[in-house]
Amino acid sequence: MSVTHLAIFVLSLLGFAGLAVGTERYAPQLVGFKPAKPARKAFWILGWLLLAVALVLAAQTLQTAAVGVTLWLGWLSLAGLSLVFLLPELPWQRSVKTAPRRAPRKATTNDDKPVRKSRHWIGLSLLAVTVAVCVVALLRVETMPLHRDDAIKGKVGPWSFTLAEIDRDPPEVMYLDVPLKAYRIRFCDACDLEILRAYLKVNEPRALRVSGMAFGGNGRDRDVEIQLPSNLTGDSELWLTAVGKDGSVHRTSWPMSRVSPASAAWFAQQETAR
Amino acid sequence: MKAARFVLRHALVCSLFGGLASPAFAHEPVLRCVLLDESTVRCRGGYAEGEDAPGVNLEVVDYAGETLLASKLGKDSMLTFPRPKTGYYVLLDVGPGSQAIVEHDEIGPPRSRDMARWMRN
Repeated sequence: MSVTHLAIFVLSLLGFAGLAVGTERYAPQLVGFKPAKPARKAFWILGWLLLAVALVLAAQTLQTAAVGVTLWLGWLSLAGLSLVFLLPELPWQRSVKTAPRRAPRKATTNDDKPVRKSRHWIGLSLLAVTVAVCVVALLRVETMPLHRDDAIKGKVGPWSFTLAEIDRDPPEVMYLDVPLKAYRIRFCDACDLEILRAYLKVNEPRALRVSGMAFGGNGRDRDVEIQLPSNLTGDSELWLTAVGKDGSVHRTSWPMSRVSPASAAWFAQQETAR
Repeated sequence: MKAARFVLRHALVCSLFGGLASPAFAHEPVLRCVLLDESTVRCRGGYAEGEDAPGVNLEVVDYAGETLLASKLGKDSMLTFPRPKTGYYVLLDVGPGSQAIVEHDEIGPPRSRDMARWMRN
C-alpha cells in the first residue's frame, strides 16, 4: 500500500519536473541549460503522461476510484510544493542569487536582533507533527475490502463472486439504536450481465420478497448496508440471494462469525453488558 | 471560443464532482419493534441517518406466509398492533430492494437502557 503511495508521489514529482523542463522559463532553473525546442516539447508531453500514469495507478489500486482521484490530487499538491522548494536549492541556482534583480533591502532596526531559537524549534516540531500525522494516516489506510484475506470467494448458483464487509469494525449504531453493517460484492464480469439483482440479509429469507436489501452501485463493485438483528450471534447466518434475469433464484449463506467476526463479538459483548 | 471554454470548464467541474461522489449510504430503512405489554407490539420505522418514515408500508406476516396486517406507518412514523399468537415477522417495505425486517424473537420489552418515550405505554 505504502509503495503505491510512494509511486504516485514520485510519478507526480517527475511529471511536474517534466512539465517544468518543457517550458522556456523554468528549464534553465531546473537543469541549468535551455534544451532545444523539440526536446522541450518531448519533456512537456512526458510530464503530462507521467501525471496521467500516476492518476491511473491511484484510481486502479486505491480503495475506490474516487478515493484514488482524491489522494492523487493530494500527492500532486505535495509534489508541486516539493518542486517549488527544491528549485532554489539546486547548485546551479547560485548565479541567480549573486545577481539580484531587485534593489538591496534597506536595513531595518529588526535586523540587529538575533532570531530567537525557540521559533526554529516551534517551526520544526510543527513540520515533524505534520509528517507524523501523514505517516500514521497512511499506515491506517485499509486495503480494498475485496482484496483482503478475509474476503469470501464463492459461487451462488452458476455465478462466482467475492464478498467482504467494507470495514472490519463493529457495526455502526444508527437511528433508533439500530446497528448497521456495510458489505461489498463483485460478481464475475460475465455474471453481471445475467444477474438482475442481489440481496443480502441476516437470517434465512422466509420469502423471495423479503430477501433483504439490494446491492447497489454503478461500477463492478456493489455495496449494501443492512440492519443487523438485535439478537445476532456468531452462528446467525448472512444470506445472499441472487436473482437472474431468467427468473432463477440462488442462495448461499455463511455464519456471521466468518464474515463479520468483530460484529459478532460486539453483539456478544452487548449481551453480557445487558 | 468563450462558449467552448465555458462548456469545457463546466464539464470538468461536473466530471470531478460526479467522479468523486462515493456510493452513498443515506437512505437505509431501519425498523425497531418493542412489546408495550404482553399483547401489544409497537414498531417505529425510519432511515439510518435519523429521518422518520411516515406513510411507509408496514406488514406483519406469519411464518405460514399469511399477511396478518398490511398498513402504513402513522404520522409519527409508528404503528401499534396486537401481538400475533404465532411466529411472525414485521416488514418495513420502502420499495424494491429497500426494506427492513424484524423477526418476532427480536421483539421484547424495552431494555433497561432504552429510555425513549415511544417504547413506553
